[in-house]
Amino acid sequence: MSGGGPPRALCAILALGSLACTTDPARDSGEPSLDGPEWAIPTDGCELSPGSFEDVTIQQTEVPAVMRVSWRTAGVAASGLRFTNQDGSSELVATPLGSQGEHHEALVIGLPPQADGALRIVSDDGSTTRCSAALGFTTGGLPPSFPPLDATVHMEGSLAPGFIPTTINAVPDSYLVVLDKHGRPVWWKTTGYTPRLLHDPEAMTLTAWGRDPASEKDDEEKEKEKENAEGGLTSWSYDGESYTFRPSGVHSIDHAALPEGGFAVLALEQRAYRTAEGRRNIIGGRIVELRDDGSTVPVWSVFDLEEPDLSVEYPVDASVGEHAEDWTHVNAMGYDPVQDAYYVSISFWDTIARVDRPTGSTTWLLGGERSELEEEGQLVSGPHDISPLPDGGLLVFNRWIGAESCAAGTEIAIDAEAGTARAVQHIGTEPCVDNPYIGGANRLSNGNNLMVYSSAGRMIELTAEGALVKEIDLPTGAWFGYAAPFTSFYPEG
Amino acid sequence: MLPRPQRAPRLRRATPWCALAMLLVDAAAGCALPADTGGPEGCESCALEDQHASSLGLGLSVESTPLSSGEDALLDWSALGEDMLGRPVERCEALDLATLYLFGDASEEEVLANLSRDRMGQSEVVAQWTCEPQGCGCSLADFSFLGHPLVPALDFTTERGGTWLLTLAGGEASGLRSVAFLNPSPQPGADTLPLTDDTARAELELQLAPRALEVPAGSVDYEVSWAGVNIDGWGLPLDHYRLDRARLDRLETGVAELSLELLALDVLSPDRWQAEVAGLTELPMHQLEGSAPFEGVDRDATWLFTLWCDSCAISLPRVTALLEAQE
Repeated sequence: MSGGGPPRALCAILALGSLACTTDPARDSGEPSLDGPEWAIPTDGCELSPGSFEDVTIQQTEVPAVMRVSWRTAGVAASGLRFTNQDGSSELVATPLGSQGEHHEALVIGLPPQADGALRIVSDDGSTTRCSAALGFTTGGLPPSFPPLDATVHMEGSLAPGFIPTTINAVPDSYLVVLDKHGRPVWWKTTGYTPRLLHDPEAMTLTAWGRDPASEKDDEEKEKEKENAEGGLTSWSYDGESYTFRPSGVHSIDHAALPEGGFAVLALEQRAYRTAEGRRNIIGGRIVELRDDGSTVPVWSVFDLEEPDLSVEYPVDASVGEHAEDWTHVNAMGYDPVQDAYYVSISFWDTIARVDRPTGSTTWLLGGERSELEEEGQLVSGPHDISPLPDGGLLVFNRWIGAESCAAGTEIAIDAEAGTARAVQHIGTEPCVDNPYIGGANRLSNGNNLMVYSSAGRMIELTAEGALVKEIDLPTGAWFGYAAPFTSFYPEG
Repeated sequence: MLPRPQRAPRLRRATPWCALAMLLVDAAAGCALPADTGGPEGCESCALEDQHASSLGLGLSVESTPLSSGEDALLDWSALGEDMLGRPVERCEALDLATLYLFGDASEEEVLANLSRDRMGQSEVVAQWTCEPQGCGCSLADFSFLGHPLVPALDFTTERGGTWLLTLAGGEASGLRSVAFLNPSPQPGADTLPLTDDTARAELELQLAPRALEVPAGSVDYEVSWAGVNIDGWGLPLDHYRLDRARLDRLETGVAELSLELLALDVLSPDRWQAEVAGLTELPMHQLEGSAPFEGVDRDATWLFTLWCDSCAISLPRVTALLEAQE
């Protein structure tokens, strides 16, 4: 499971700030320096005291752009890092100071590959805040099979801060990846196909659906049934060197993190019906929760809404092992922790279902023939990803397949008491982008919108007014999964 | 409220029976090559720069075959003996990844032009489907994408338009092995697309750089660095991280012949050495491995140093340079 980057750096700054680099044949490209760029790392609020930090090592991890820094403070103190990119293209980050002690370790994460970084160690012993000299280092590079990203920033000053975890599905290798605000990869891991990568700053993990990494060496890709049976959620540490795997036994379509820990999974559900013509396998969808106590709890099923019309022949779903018909095409879910509600995209119905999590009941259906809310115009068409908004609205990625318009985000305001829904805005570009598969729309921290045209291998960031801020394109054959933006790798405060 | 984004009007274009794209990148011609010296003692770190890197012009000729609109058809590569770069296809069963791309607005000529530069963008692709063949062919109906099967009656139609490209990969050689255009035709057409050695053919023109890199003769105690190469053989920015293999060929062929015969490098080269270079921008030459130990370059042969991207679609060197022994 080694990342294919350039040689690693392993250097140490010994007591009193003297620099020593050990020459590890496999790890010899770093250039830590006491003459690091002082300008890049402010000493605001700390006393410059290089002698307070000893045995400093800066080392690439299994994810070559992530650096592990370890050090010792002269006495018991809480200690952490301030770091950035020497060219100023990454924001200054301060890691949490951590617990009191003499031996400390922290990860530098969020810098692009082969970047010259600079860091300063900070400590607080309760009476004095001290900081080290600025130290330089170089992050590792991308593996050769990583698809080249064509990222263009049009409005630097309008970029939303933060990161975009997503997946890049390609031949010969697919990747879990986190992009920075400029569209540069800062974290990556090879994987099989998976739609979503979720970040948990408290656990400092990144979680995706897939096979147990321990079985990566199997000839797995052609064994769909085995894949379904052994699928589960893998939570990777930032350094890529450890993981936890939660098997589920369900065929996941999408997943969301739960506030108390654990995950909700939108999964395929297959039921068999006997007809005069014989047995028919009909696929719907359900939500199950994989809770931290190890239990799997069913919450909701589309079969609870109605039964399939057996006079209709539904399209074949080629992703399951035996002949099965895709009745509803549930394809994405969103979770709103404020309302404790799930939203499920039922694409063949052009419908969004709101599910009350505590009861598992369907609160309402929006869109299509089954809509229970009165709509102003058509709001839902071939939906995919759903992002709940803080004001109770939704941002829905509509594919508009076969329509005059094509893929776009639709911000929807919902008045459940009045039983109405209306479009606040449609989000996209002219001319628009055909995107028949997957896709998402996300609200970013500064109010910008991120449009993910997944199968078109394209992401764009737009201001709230619709101006193009940046665009990221993939080469032919490569395409994105969903995005789930976040602002910091580190816990708040 | 903003209106919904509208689809741009789509232009219909005539589809040629056979398309040819030939891209020649700016290059200075030259056969008698001056060499950069590494100083009186020779270089220990010999730096390749853009002035040493040669230019490639790749031309692809790819057949376009009409098939009946709305009907299933068999894509059959059982007769494929050689791939589009002239490399032998060991067993047709080894070609185990077939992908169909539907380009919305790009013509066959435009698709070929971008393919020739290994710079096709996914945003041009309206839909794609893959097939894992059980033998040496796939029917259109065998293709799917994330559980969505290709339905010929709905997808492979004249009405839907677009440009259909089949790509084949797999086997011992890296990159694409063959490609073909499919053309849904309103007229009754064939129900089989047989891929042969002539379905797709590449022509390559190598324009050697005006300068060779001079390196110590008869020595392996130096390294070749390519950190200073910024432009690839196609004349596009070089993604250094994508380079994964270095190769050094000792050729009896003269420089002029080499320009025309790069596709036959395996045949031309009696001796070759290789090394993995993923993540590196320099290679200590003693790390080169071949059937015989590498003992350094001499002035009795032509020495060709190439850097490759084996995970790229087009398996051709990204950087090509001549090394010249400094006595």
